[in-house]
Formats: sequence, C-alpha cells, structure tokens
Amino acid sequence: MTDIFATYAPAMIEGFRLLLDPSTIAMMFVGLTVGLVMGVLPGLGGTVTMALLLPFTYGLDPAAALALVLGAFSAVSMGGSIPAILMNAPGTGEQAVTSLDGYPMTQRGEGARALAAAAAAGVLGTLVGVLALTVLIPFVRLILMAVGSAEMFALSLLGVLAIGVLTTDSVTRGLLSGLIGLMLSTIGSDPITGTLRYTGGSIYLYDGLSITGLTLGLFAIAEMIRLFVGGKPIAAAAGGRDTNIMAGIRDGVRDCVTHVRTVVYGGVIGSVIGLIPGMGGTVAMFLSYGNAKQRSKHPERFGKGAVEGIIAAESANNAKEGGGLVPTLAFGIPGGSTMAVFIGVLFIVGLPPGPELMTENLHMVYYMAWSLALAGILGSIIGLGLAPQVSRLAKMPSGILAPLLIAFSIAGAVVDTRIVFGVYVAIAAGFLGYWLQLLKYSCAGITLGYLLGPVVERKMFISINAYGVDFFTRPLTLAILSMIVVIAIRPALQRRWNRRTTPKGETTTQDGDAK
Amino acid sequence: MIKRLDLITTVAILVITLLYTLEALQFPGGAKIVPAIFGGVALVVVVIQLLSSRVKAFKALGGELEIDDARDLDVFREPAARGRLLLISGSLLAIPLLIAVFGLPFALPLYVAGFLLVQRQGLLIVAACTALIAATSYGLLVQLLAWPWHDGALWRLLR
Repeated sequence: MTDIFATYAPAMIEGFRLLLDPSTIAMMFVGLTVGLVMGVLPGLGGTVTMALLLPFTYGLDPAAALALVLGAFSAVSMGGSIPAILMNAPGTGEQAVTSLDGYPMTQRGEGARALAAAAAAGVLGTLVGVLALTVLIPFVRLILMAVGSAEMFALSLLGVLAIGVLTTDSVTRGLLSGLIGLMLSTIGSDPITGTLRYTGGSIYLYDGLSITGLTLGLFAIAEMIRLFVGGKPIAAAAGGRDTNIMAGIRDGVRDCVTHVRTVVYGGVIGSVIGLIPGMGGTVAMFLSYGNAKQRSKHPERFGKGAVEGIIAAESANNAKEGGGLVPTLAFGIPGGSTMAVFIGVLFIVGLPPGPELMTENLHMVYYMAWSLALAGILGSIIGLGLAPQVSRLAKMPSGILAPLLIAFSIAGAVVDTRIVFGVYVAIAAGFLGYWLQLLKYSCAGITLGYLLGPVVERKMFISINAYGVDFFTRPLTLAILSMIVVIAIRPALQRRWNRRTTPKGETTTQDGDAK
Repeated sequence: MIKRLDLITTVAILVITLLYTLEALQFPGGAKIVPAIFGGVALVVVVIQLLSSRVKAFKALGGELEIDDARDLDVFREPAARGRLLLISGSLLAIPLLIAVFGLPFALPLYVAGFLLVQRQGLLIVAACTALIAATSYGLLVQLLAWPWHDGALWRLLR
C-alpha cells in the first residue's frame, strides 16, 4: 500500500500541476468548442472530431495537444446529446439510447430538463470513469486477462440481442432487429478469410456499408420523414409547455441528484465496459439503460420519456471514456475507433502507449485523467449554457427542419468513406428505418448489430481456434449467453403473468398494463 | 390494414433472410459459417413471428402488433399526409440525381432551396437555410474533406 502511494501520488500531483497551465486551459476551451459544434452535427462523432484535430496536434506541447483533443473528445458527448434529445437525430449509434427517452421528453415540452439531466449525468459519469481509471491503473493487467475472446464474443452477442428486445415491446421483433443488423454487417470482405460476401460485384460494398450513412439514415432521415409526414414541429405535443427553460434545467439537475443510484450504476457499467476493448459506448449505454429499466418501479415509462433513461445512458457513455483509456494507454489496445485515433495523437506527441508510458511518463497518464474530468465538467457547463438557445430548435416547423437535417445528414454520410455511395446508403436506410419503426422494429438493435457484427465474427473464430468448438461452455461465457435467453424470455413470461393476474373483463396492453 | 402491412413486411423479411442464408451456403470454407448461423437463427425467429398471430404458444413472444400500434399508420388515411410523404420521398430520391448533375457540394443547398420553395416558404427563410447548408457543404466537404466542388456532370459538360 505504501509502495503504491509512493509511486502514484507524486505522479498524480505532477499531472494536476500540468493542468493548471493557462495555455493548457485555453487549448481545452478550443477543443471544447470544436467538440460541441461537431457533436451537434449528426454524423460527426468523436472519431471524426479527433481525426480532424490530429493534424493540429503537430508541433504542440504534449500537454496542450492532449488538452485540445481530450477537450473535444469530452464535449462531443454533450454536443451529441443535444440533437439526440431535441431532434431524435443521434449522430452515432451510441446517442441512439439518449434519444429513446430524450426525444419523447422534448415532445412533451421538457427538452431543457432532458438536456440538463444529460449534462449533469455526463459530469458525474465522467468523474466515476476518471475515478475508475485512477484506481485501476495498478491492477489493469489482471482485469484484462480475465476477459478472453470467448467472453467478448458472448458480451457482444448479448449487447446486440438484448438491445433489440429492450427497445421494443416484442421479443421476436427485437431479436429480428438485432439479427438484421448482424446480417447487414456481413456485407463486404470477410474479416477472417477476406472472401467477398453479398457485394453483388460492387467495389463500393467491399468495405461494407457506410456506418455513418446507415446510422444517419436509420435515425435522422427516418425521423425527418416521420416528422414531415406528421406535419407538426418536434415539440407540437408540448403545446408550448416548455416555456420556463431555466426551471427545466433546474429540474434536470435535480433529477440527477434524485437518481444518484442510477448515475453510480451507469458510471460503473460504463467504466467496466470501457475497459473491454472493442465493446464501445453503445453497449455501455444500452446495458446501463437496461439495468435502470429493470430496477425501475415503472419500467413501462422507459422509451416514453423517462428521465432515468437519459441519466443511465449519459452517465455510462461518459464513464466509459475513463475506463476506455486504461487498455488504450497500458497496452495500446483501443476500446473503440475514437481511441484508435487517440493512439495516433499519443504517437504524434511522443507518448506512445505501453509500459514506458505507464512507468516513466505516469504523470502524463494522470494528467489525461485530470484533463478528462475537467473537460467533462466544463463541457457540460457550456452545454447547459447553450441549452436555452438550442431548446428553441424544437419549435422549428418540420417543413424547415426536415430539409436542413436531411442535408446535414447527407453531408455527414460521406465523412467516413468519402465516397458518394454513403449517401445512397443513408437514403435507403432512411426509408427502411421509417417503415420498420412504424411496425415497431428496433433501429437501435439494427445499428448495434451492424456495429458489433464484425466483433462477434472475429471473436468467435479466435475462440474456436483457442478453445475449440465448445468454447461457449466456458463458465463465464455460458453465464453471459444464458443472460441472452433470460432477457429474451423475461418479457414474454412477465406478460403471461400479468394476463393471469389481471381480473376477467379487463384487457392488457403489450406492456402488461391493465386497461 | 396494419395486420396486412405487418404480414407483408414479415414475409418480405422471411424471403430476404432465406435468400441470404442460401447465398451464405455458397461461400467457401470459413466465410460461410457466421452468415449461415445469423441467417439460420433469423429464419427461426421470423417463422415464430409469422406463427405468433396464429399459434397461441408463440403469442406471448409478442410478435403480433396490437391495435394501439395502428395509430402511427393512421396518418396515411389523410390526403395531406400522403402528399407530404410523396414530397419527402420524391425529394430524397431526387438527391442522387442532383448529385450526378451538380456534384455533392452543390446538390445539398439546391435540395434545401427546392424543398423549401415547393412548400412556399418565405424567401428570407429559403435564402437563410440555403446559405447555411451551402456554408456547411463548402466548409465540411470542400475544405475539410477536399471533395471536388465541380464533380457533377454539368461542370464536366461546361468544361
């Protein structure tokens, strides 16, 4: 214990001292501004933001460069929650979870409250994540060794199939949504053998479908079609109730305090998922959301504007950044695509990840932890400051908002592949998403299936090679896979139970509520 | 109406999944395993969904849509809503054409301007929205992504 204190305490203090430099703070503000703007624009998530900032880190002092990048990285999350809540237009699959309850709250005229809850949960989640990073650094190797490829395969599958079920009222539609996403993920070059699958001879499909195109189509464009066809502004249902924006912000912050347990659970889930490479924020947010829904006394309110849903999702999303830094910095294993670009930044500033960073430059590791915490707080304050202005976007007529957002989405659809084929993917996904949402399928399940499909496939092959075809009988893998069955069967059993206990003469809804 | 639309969609998913699975079996060696598993499981689930409206044992899995769900589809009964659906669908399908003729950076502001003008929005709003998208298109596509602004057929013809 004394050794740990003697080794890590001076590094923590030195890291904090670096953060107090005015030029560092100034760079962080630049990063925060860029991150907020990029986060608000659908399709421009953390990866794109970080990639765009990469050239600007050349020649900068390492502390200033990291402040710039981590500031932007942190603010993207807050920025992304703004269109997710106000317009149901998550720029990435991750923010789809925030939309589930944020958008219904906006429709009820509680957009400011939802944004404030997201901001406050984001700050607390970041702090939990940073705490996890700080505490786990000495024990990181042991934790990572416990999770093998078989467990990661099972966790990815759990994420995809559970999400589908959790975001719809129907088990089969939920499972099918996840499976559609998984099937779409097999388009393109096979990650193991390189065989081309389902490309139809088109070179544009060799790398699969555009992720931003698919996500923007399924969420942003589909929502704009629905909104425009409905002929009402986003907040039409509110009837002008969102008049007291400051009161809404106060309520949102208060909600976070009231649901502090949800924040802590979300923070812990986010930190743990962040630790596992390749899992990313989507799984963290959905698992945290599912956890909050299962613990809630009113699970039927989830997906219809429950503030706990936003708190659970945002706290996990922000906490996973701290956890994600652990494998990234210690082993150079990125937790996701954003962290992969971040490794590029580390090389540019002369701090390559690995044992050297964790020993000789340990103070820089703690500097990054402090920076992430400060950026999370400042990003949320700036986001909250902008909340009154951006909340008004919800009042915009759909006839004006729809073409604007569609145009933004189309522009965002080409960012990752840089070919116009991404536009066609976005448009096709828009029509598909609109139709499937009408029939109560889960677009979130499709997106997650698409994102995690390659992970499932790779981990399955690695597991077969490492443990044989019966790899799924490993105790932890089996336990995770059993959870899929439980999650799939539970809503059906609950519905049956509700029907049995409902007195004759009354009917029940799909949620099992008596009418 | 909702049940018929739902049935048509489920059958369409069934057919696509069947074709997907059959295609998967044609892939060589290890490339077929994962698509075949995904397709096989999806086939089972989609069959359960089809049966859920008829077989009591599967009904609890909730495959069948309830009457409440029909409310979202009611919008198609209004002629005005059908007109709006036609307008937005047509405009989305026109985007690839605009891109082919004018190039992506020009297509986006043109799309916004056209969409707003068709709806007879005020000229000030049309100008402001078009300028916003033109600036975004120029900044993001031309400046950041180095996308050629003159990649449409029209510019090639003029050159």
